[in-house]
Amino acid sequence: MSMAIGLVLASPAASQPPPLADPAGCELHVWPGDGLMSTYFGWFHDGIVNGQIEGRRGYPPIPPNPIDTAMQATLLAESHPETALRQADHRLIVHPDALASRTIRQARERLAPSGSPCYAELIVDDVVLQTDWVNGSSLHILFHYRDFGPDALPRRVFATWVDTHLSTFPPHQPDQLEAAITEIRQAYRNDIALFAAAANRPPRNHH
Amino acid sequence: MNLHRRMAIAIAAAILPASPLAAQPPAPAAPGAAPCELHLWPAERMRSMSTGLLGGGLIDAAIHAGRDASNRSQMASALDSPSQLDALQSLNLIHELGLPEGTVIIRHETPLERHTINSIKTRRADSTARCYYELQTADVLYMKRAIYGRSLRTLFMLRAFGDDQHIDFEYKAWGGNGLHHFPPGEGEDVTVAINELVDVFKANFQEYARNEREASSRRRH
Repeated sequence: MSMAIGLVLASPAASQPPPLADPAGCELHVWPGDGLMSTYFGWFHDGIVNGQIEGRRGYPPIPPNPIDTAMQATLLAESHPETALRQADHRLIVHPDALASRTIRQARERLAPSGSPCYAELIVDDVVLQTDWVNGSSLHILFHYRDFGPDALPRRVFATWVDTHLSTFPPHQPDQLEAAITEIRQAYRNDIALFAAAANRPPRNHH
Repeated sequence: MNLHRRMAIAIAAAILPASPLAAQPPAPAAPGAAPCELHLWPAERMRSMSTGLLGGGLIDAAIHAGRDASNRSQMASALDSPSQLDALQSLNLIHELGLPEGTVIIRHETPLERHTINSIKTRRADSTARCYYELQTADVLYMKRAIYGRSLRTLFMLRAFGDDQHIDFEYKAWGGNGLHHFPPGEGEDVTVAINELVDVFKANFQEYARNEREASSRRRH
């Protein structure tokens, strides 16, 4: 594997370039998301955002921090999104910290202080455990992809939700915990692939 | 919006005749007086209700459960607490609500628990300001109906306390407007849909605030 994986500090306001960035090379900068959110639509309770995370009455509990920011960074690095996004020549640089949604959605210019002539970003915005009384649970993730090429402003911006069904998570019995954690992490990897497939599709013509 | 306006007026409640709320233009602050405070809280409850030609009921709810669950997640993301507060603060809240000039806005990033919004009648912030207001966002509701189409509705509540723990004026009402882009199709770019939710959230507040000013003005005259 010739692709380098670097971990650098994520700071859009930083004045120093990332220590592992190569000004002459292509770069795909990747940011993980914050910890898990939850939405729940049950028989008798629904609507409280993060009701499961906070252990609200009537909302089924979930294990604490099943897929925190550090784990997401690891999963992103292991999944090689640069290959999935058909940019195998880009150096993968995984930042360790999540960006605020406000930063992600309002930013116009490059979020990393890089002068790379072929620069792109993949950003995890929100990671949501979604449960409803008919379909069960799934892992929904909102990704943003921005391809700048050599420019200061992006040539292409694409963001969408992807989801993967969960059959074991959240675990109902203590002995299911390990399998449930494994499943949600595999769902995260699968969501990366689903997003890349969506990003690679040509834009739909609505005319 | 006639229906929404009627609902807003129907829900509005003024507790005592004397209201510190000013009609337009905003009342000037008394010289030398400590500034008034307006405390903001975002909503923690997001709901989605889709009905088809069955017109509701258990079967209809089951048919749309997946779509409604997905809508909840997308609304929870697009209108998370910072986004709600940012959207409100992008407007001139003091003017919109007809509050005294110079009122200081204080953000609360953590929502109030929904089931306490109606039951707790005292100040929700640890403030002893002699002029104190609360703007609580109670609910965010997406609705899709076979005939009327898609809309986003938001339930707001303004409380004015004066200088004690007693509510002098309360106005609780829905604002609602149509949606054209939300929810996005599977695999589609969601940027426009996210922006639309935020824009309609703001429009809902402005509709609410217009009705609140009218209700406040009627109480004063």
